[in-house]
Amino acid sequence: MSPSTPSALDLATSVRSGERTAIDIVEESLAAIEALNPKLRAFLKVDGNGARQRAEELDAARQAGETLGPLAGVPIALKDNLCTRGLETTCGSRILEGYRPPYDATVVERLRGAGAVIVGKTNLDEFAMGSSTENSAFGPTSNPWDASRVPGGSSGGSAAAVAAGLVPVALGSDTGGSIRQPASLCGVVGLKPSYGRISRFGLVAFGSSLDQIGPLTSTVAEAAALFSVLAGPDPRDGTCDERPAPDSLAALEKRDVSRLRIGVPRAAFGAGVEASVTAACRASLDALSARGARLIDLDLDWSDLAIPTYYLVATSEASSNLARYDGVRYGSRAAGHEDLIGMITASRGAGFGPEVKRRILLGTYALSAGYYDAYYRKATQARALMGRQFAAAFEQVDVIATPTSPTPAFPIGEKSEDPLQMYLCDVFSVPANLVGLPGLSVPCGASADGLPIGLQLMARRFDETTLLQAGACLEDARPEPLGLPPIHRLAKGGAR
Amino acid sequence: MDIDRIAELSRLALTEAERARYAKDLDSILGHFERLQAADTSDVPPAVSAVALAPRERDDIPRESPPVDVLLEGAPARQDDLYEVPRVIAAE
Repeated sequence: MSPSTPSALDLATSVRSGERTAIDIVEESLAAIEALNPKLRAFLKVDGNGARQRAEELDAARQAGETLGPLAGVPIALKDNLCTRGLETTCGSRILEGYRPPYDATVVERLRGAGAVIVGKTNLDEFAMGSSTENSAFGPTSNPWDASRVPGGSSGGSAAAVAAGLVPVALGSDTGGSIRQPASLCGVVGLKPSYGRISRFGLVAFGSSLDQIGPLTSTVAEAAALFSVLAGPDPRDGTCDERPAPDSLAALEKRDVSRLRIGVPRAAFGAGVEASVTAACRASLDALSARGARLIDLDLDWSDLAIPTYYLVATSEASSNLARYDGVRYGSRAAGHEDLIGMITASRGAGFGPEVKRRILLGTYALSAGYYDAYYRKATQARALMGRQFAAAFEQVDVIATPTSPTPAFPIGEKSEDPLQMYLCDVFSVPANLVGLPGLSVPCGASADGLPIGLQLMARRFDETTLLQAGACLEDARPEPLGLPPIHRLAKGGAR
Repeated sequence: MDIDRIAELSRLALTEAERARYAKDLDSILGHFERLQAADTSDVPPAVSAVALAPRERDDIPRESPPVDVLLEGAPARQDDLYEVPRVIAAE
């Protein structure tokens, strides 16, 4: 949350009206990146020339009397697992270092069509596998609120870039919480839409039954605006639903907190959640209740099922999806091998980092003969069971609220040697992916030492409208926003 | 766990130190996952996706694809319009 950063919606309005030029806005963003990125390491690649050229085209189009799109002149950062034609896309991996895709992802085409200006590609855990951005082969990103702490992950670069005001908005991807958790840890809004809402064409695949693309923004209104630009059918992604994108921004005006029924799973506010997180989330729910929302306690408890189910499904799918990195068609190839299998095995061994290897091994094991029934098949049954439990809960409530993450941002290095502890961070975020629901993280408070805390809301599949309305109600009800992250104050002199 | 076998199936060249480390990590992770077995799923059919996707048809319309040179640009080794790879079938 950076109140000094103008909203993407205000920027677009000012560019469309001619009050400001796109090039002026883009130069501001590039200057802020130049000043702060050396400390944050949120961006892996900055496309200054491409961004300036696009901004000048937009300004020229306006001069010529053309009507510009809803995101006219808005600088945007993309997680580096979204394909951009001719612009390096690495997934934070050595195996894709230098890879320049021959095509744009559908979301990239839609953003360009709406007038957004892509300024660069952001850091992530390698192939989006992680909850801290420490698994990037190119080094970790820092949290703008405390540079010694992680920004969360895997979309940590995008979350940090928005929190520090380098760009007003960014895109991430979310397979098990990778938009919502870094949003929570950096104090910004993160939306994971329903499975099937947004085309994944051009998103480098991790877990295909789980992956979704979504926005990271300062406000719920900006998330709604981006969602409406990104959503909708795409013949190039067979899992993408046919229904058209709703006008979620307009729907926000119709929000009515007194009609909201919020389900509160008791188990999500109990053991294993840091006291500051429980307190901030409870306080924001009480504030919603004071404004007329109904809070309904739920017995829904996925604490034993969610992590094993998710990590078996996600790693199984990843072990298959990542088979394509074989040193043949793209990526790096190990030298000195005279047989094909030897070359493939060595290229993968040298090109993938430790967490990616760990997950490929786990997924391969879960799918292997003799273990398939006990692991992968059992996980798919538990997944169906969770679907039933959520469907029953949504008969009584409109949204379900939990903390987004059990803790605020943790120190860099604290969990990186203990993969299981890192996995357990995802307990509240993975159900939305397993069940296909939309999920939203909204800043709701801070810990005693000033680290942001987010509340997660989930809604029925394809009911992003109610989800975003509930998020906007939370923004109305919560205490004062967090103010500027320290990194912004530190380098402010340099940025201007 | 037979880490050598899983590494082979995964097509991952691993050092001895990596093998020891991943075997230990996977034991710890799978130990935690044992709790999944307690879930009663006897009447639950497996769901490989959150949603049942009906096969969808679309018109088969030819469209422009990137030129061969662009597609081959990222290849580690090429020969003319082909990907070049080491020998596939071992020499007798």
